[in-house]
Amino acid sequence: MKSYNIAMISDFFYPQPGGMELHIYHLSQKLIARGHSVVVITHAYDDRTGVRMLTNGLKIYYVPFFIIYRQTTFPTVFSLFPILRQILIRERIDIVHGHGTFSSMCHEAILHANTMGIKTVFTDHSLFGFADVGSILGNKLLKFTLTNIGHVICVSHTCKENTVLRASLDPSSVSVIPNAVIADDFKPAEVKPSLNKITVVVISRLFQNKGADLLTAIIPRLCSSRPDIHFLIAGDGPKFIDLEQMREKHQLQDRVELIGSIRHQQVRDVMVQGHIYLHPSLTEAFGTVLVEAASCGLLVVTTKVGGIPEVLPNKMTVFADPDEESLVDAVNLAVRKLKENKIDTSSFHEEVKKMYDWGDIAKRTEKVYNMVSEREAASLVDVLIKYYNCGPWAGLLFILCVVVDLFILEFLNWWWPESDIDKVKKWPRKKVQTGK
Amino acid sequence: MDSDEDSSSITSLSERVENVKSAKKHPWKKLLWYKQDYEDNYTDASFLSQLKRNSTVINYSYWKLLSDFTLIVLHLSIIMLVILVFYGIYRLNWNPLVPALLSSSLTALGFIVYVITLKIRRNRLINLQKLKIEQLTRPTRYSKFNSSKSHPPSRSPSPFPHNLELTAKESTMDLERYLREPNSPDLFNTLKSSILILLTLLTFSPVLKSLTNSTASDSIWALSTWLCLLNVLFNDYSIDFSHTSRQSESSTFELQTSNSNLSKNISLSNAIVLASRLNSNLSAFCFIVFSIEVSGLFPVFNNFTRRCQFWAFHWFQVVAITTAVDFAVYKIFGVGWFLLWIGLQFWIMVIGPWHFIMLQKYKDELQGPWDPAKPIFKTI
Repeated sequence: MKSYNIAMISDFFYPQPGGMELHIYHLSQKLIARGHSVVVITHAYDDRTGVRMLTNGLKIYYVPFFIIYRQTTFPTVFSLFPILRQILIRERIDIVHGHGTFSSMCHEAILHANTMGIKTVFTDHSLFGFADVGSILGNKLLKFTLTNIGHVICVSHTCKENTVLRASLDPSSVSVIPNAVIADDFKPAEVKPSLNKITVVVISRLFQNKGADLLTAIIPRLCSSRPDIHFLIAGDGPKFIDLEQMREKHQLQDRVELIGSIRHQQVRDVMVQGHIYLHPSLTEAFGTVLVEAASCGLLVVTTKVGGIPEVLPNKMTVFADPDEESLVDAVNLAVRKLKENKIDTSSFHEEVKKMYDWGDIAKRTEKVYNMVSEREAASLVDVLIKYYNCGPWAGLLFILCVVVDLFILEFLNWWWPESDIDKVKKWPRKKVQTGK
Repeated sequence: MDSDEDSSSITSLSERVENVKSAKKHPWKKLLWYKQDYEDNYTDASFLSQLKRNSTVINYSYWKLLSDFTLIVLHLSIIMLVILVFYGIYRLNWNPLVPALLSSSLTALGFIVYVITLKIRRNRLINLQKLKIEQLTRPTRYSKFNSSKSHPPSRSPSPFPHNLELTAKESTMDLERYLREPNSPDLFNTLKSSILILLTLLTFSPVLKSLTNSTASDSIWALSTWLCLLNVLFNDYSIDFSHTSRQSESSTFELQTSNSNLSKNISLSNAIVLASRLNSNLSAFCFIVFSIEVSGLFPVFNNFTRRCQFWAFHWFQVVAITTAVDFAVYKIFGVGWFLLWIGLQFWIMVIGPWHFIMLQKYKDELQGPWDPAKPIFKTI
């Protein structure tokens, strides 16, 4: 089996916590375990600059870069090229794998990697609409990046439909590979909490698009109709105040516990205190937290939006519409199911463990890498024609960017020839057993 | 491996679907947790089956659009009017007092109309609310008669007959919203503040006059051109004012008052910039007063007439101002400019709506499960 040198590129990586960061880290670890060499390239976080090593020789390059908004770098199109070229040559990278539509660093890196003739893969983690100005600009940018991409990975089938439409791709060049969870980190409670007091857990950033308003609306109704129900809400955000006010107004201090933001390691400890996991989100590409909740042995009550219906089997979930009435009914139904012992949540953990496993994800990603690296590079003229067909104005602009990038590459090759760049020694590894 | 270089995705897609059918596997399911015997990049025939297109398309009527587009022409005419008066004072040595006095007297007249209309509507609103309270407290014929008698002038416009109380209830709600207007301004305070503004302007007019002495006239014309263009761009035409939804009227009103200041500020700066080219204090003062009244106060008044749905009066304003400006352009700038100006107006009024309707066929709105859901709440 061929071993690749892979560069994961995204604006979002540790020390910042989040779903994409988790995904990149675990995928990299599993790829390393399968005998590949992986580096992560991200931008510098405050004093975290330079090169760092994580477990198993996962090397992180924190590239100094100007940050504009929520850890997203300033989109400059060309400015990353010199340092990126150094890193890619030093690490003898075969495949550049970008993550996240919001990450301008990833878009830039894919452009430059294409210019340098390195194969590219992009993973999309989020869903976008088509109507507002922000989405329109974002979609144009995505189209530019993905016009010459090797292969695209989406985290759910809904996400694939969305990405194919946004970037006008051939659906066969898009694979669906979901996120996974480390099931061992999400074991159910040793002692099941008693059913006399039903605890509903919510772990979510409290934003409007996460359905915080729905949550605020249904809690008082559920509390008044069921004296045995309690809420445990973790997460912070702009809607936190609304929840607090609701709690004051309806005198629910002893039944609604707001614990604010928690670290990812604490998620399991919070989850196992409850029976039901409630997820009122309005949009979701995948919803890793649902899988985590099911793995902890909770019955999941969720809105049926985005990619959520694909994630868990029907027996683990109670679906609702994003509608106050429907959510209240769904929670009541879930409580009834638990009380009447119609559902056995103890088997959830083992089942989820079989469904979502990073090792499996890494294997499937590797297949994509094989596919990409076997493909012959298209000729420059073909590539330019592809870009030209992106639109009357956009096409010309895209071609301009691509051609300028080629000239920059020529200049860099003359200014600092490839032969003058030191190649790194790879992390020493034991002979690993690859594949099962 | 797949033939990804295939140019036409649809054929490759259908081929793949065919292949699958012949292989007789389990049918593909749109699930992530379920391990299926398909490649990760497999595309099922059900791909994009939940896609909805153009679900919110509105059919525009040409005449409705035309009447909306005349608002743009009206705004252009107002800007042109200011430019014309400036040109008259600057080049043709008009007496600056004439336009200023004319516009001031018209403004005063408009203000009186405004105040009286507000008073009448307020009375009507109070009457309606009284009527509603009576309906709620199960009125006798006598008290009803009594209350209507206490407001004799506003009794006649009440739109519903005495005996249809149940049906009246709904229309009352509607009418109440329709009648909702801000309180009529306090006369004394208005007078005080307008005198204050006039005196300030008068004091500052020497300063304004010499403000751009060190700048070449060409720069001023260029600056003024830019300001006029920005004014046209940023003006809040409040086109869908009371045509479409009466329910949201009160909210539109708030929106309108909060948004429309940018173009007013731009037109004021344009007036100041132009006034600094005039050669006497009096003409600078008169020009600025004229400009404030025409481009600052008149649009407010026009919005008000539209909000009250005095359509005949609104059309009178539009026709009077545009024809007056057209005529003045013809008289002052000659036939060439006149034709250009008329052409521009024609283009906006006739070609503009037509082009807008033509563009609708390019509308390609995509909706699907990826759109954020709109939560439905039972209680507001």
